[in-house]
Amino acid sequence: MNQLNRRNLLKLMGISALSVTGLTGIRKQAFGASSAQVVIVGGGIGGITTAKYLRIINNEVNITVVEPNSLYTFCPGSNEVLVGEPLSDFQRTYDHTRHRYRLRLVADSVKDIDFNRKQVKTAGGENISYDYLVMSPGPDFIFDDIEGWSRELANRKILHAWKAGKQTLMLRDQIRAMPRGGVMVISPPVMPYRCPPAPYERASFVAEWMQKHNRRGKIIILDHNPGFVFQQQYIRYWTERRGFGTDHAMIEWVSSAQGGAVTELDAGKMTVTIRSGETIKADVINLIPRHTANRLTRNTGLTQGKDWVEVNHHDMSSLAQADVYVLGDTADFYIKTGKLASDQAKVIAQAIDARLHDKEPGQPLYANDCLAKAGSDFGMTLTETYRERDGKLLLAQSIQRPLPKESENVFLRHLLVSAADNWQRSFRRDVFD
Amino acid sequence: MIIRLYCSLILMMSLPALANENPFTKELFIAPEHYQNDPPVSGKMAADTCSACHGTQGRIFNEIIPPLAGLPKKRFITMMMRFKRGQRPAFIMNSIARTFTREEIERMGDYFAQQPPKPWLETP
Repeated sequence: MNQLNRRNLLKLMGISALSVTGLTGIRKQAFGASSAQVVIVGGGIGGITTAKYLRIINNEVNITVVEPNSLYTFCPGSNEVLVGEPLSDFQRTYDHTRHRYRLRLVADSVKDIDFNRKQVKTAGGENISYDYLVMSPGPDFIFDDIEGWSRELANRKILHAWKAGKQTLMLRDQIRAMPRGGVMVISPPVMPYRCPPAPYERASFVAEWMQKHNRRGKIIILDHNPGFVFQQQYIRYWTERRGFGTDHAMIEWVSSAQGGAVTELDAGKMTVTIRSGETIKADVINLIPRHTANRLTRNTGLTQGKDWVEVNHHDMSSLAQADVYVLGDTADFYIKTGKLASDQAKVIAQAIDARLHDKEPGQPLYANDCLAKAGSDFGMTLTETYRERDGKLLLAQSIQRPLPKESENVFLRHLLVSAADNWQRSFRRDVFD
Repeated sequence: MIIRLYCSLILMMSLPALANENPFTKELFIAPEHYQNDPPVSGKMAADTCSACHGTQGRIFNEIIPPLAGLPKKRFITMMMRFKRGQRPAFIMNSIARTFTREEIERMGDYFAQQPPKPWLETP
């Protein structure tokens, strides 16, 4: 579509330039009473990307986002807050996005969904009708896998900091308050959980900070998994910089095969017991809880008793309910990342727009492309493409770099750090701007 | 400035063998020839996977990673095909380009050529 011509055409038709915002074709008009209603539950990466990308391609549809918080904190990159970056760098309000894309924002949480009447019920008592419902509520955490841990304890002492915000700052302060030569335990849960490389990134960033501020400090990763993403790259970097594998290692990794899974916590004594039977004393214990589908999707039957909401990967529609789309960390998708949530959102936006025009949604594409850091002098890339056939996912490729030979190139390593920082900024802009 | 930074991203690297190194998704691996004949992804759908780095509609003009909006179609296709074949070594783009079919690259070329070459937020 030639949008310049379209604008000129609209002008010729007597619609004033005031009603046209220009090259995006986004029109500033009141909500059409007869237009379709799209209700999005959750104002995170998945929800806001769906809203924005749907508005870009559809002027008429009414878009409502139900989100109780007025401030969103990005998880991607938030490990940097633990080592001194301000949390505000990762936070966005909804003001700009709401006005620019004409979203109705309901500052409330969803209590229940009536799929027959096609209504969302909020905790505040509002009933919001939908033609299409988009569920992007984020994951829920399971605490009772580890004896002695609880949601309450996770809020004040044995933190997870796996939803960026208050806990991120609390964990930062715990790390700063560690005694000289203190020990920090980080325990990644069994896959899948949001952002697979993030526990190792956390260990890597904190170790770099310790190198300056607590040189004899130590990080022990007690893992529920046998291996991890960027394993080759992280191990290489830790071996080179943090004495990995030696008696003076700043980072130790105990895999599930070595009995690393944490089974028990004693928050009073500050010890954890792992499957091998060993008990480890630490000054900071950072347990990351196992993930499951969001409570709301479990309570409303969308999960059908499974751990995740099953979807048709052609358009991310729920297999349990018609006209319901589910995305992000709560949907059944092999890997859970912010980038994938944003790609799923774009697929859903196109699918809803297609259905509003009585068309079939096109072929989807999901690219889990990621630029990450092991430290301020070592960047990494993951290029991972998912395609779909008959409603099922196919992994077209997954490549992690730099390869061993490439990582000898110091110039490249630094360059990838700049590219990774670029990715953090440009990704946040793609979601909220 | 942007172009110079961009050039510095392009390094003389040998391509890694097509590989799936992710231990958690190994069983999902398929080689490109298996989806070559599947329905092609639309230009917009493919281009939307680029926006986290290159900006919404390829319209970030003040970053290290270059914009794509307004690139002449032919130039885009030539560049992507050279990335795909490894004739133009690049650290990230070689891996990304080869997951697209020729037809998808052409469609993306159409899409980006139609986007106005100005920052996304400059659209009122």
